[in-house]
Amino acid sequence: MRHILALLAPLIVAACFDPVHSDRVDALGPEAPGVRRGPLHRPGQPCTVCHGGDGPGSPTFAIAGTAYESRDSLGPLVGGVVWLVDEQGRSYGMSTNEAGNFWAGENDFTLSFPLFASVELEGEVVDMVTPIFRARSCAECHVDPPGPGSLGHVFLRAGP
Amino acid sequence: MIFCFNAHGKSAAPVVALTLMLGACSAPPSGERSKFAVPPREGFEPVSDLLQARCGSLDCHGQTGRSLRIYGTNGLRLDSKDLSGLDGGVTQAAEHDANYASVVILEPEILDRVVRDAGRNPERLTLIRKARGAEVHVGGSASPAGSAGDVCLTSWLAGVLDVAACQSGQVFERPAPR
Repeated sequence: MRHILALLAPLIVAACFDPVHSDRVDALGPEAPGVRRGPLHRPGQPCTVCHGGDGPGSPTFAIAGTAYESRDSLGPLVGGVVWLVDEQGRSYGMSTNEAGNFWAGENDFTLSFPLFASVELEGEVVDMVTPIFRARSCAECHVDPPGPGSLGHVFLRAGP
Repeated sequence: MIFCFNAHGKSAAPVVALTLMLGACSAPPSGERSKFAVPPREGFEPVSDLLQARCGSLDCHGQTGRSLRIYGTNGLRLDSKDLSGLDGGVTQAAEHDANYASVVILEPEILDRVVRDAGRNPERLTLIRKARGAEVHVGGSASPAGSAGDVCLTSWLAGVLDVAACQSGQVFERPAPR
């Protein structure tokens, strides 16, 4: 029996370890100095790398991201709302906190792609130009700096 | 020239040379190429624009790691100086060329048969099956059978491109929230 367990143990360990996921988590780096792990941490990072159900973050999010006031600065969009609408017209709004972070819990909103997103602050609304087809973290595409393969951060206003 | 040394520090260059010579003997005659029928590159732009809109977002086929890699103004850019999602941006001719290449090199043998059959049974192509949602596809049914996007692709394969279908297939109606 012990021989069987000795043979199976490496397989069990290997089955529980996902090096690709682990690398993605490690690539996000450590917490910013002075910022506790919580709703205000890691603005602009792809939230569901850790909060996507494979850990290490908890709770699990259906979709999440960070919004900023303008394209030209990293001032967070505080007190705004990010709206999602699916093809059936089902909508869900997520409030942005002091870091601009927003999220929907895994049971808050059933994702049905494609999704159409908007950012709103006190009646000022900007629609996302293209639908979201599969990404559950805005930062999968919206990464700074803008470039040939990245859109730059999510923002409300094009100007300052 | 690559020089190899074995554990004793002796050059293995003769082994490398012999291996290269044997490989050269088994290569096809110089200049001989396989010929596959493909849809024309001329007039591909509406199809390219459809692929951008339906498939080429940065979270899908607008990624360099994809075998079907799609470039365009709102997704992945071919030129490192171009910005994704730039207001008023235009998809460049080279990006249309790259999209064409992406499509025709996916399954050249099957594409050859579909084109020689005037586009009949296009579902032989993985591109069509996945776009229709007839095969497991994380992106779902990007262009269901009979939709404008599907008509665009299949008409292009048949050699009678339906430009209007390609144009309407690019449009996503933002649904009214309920």
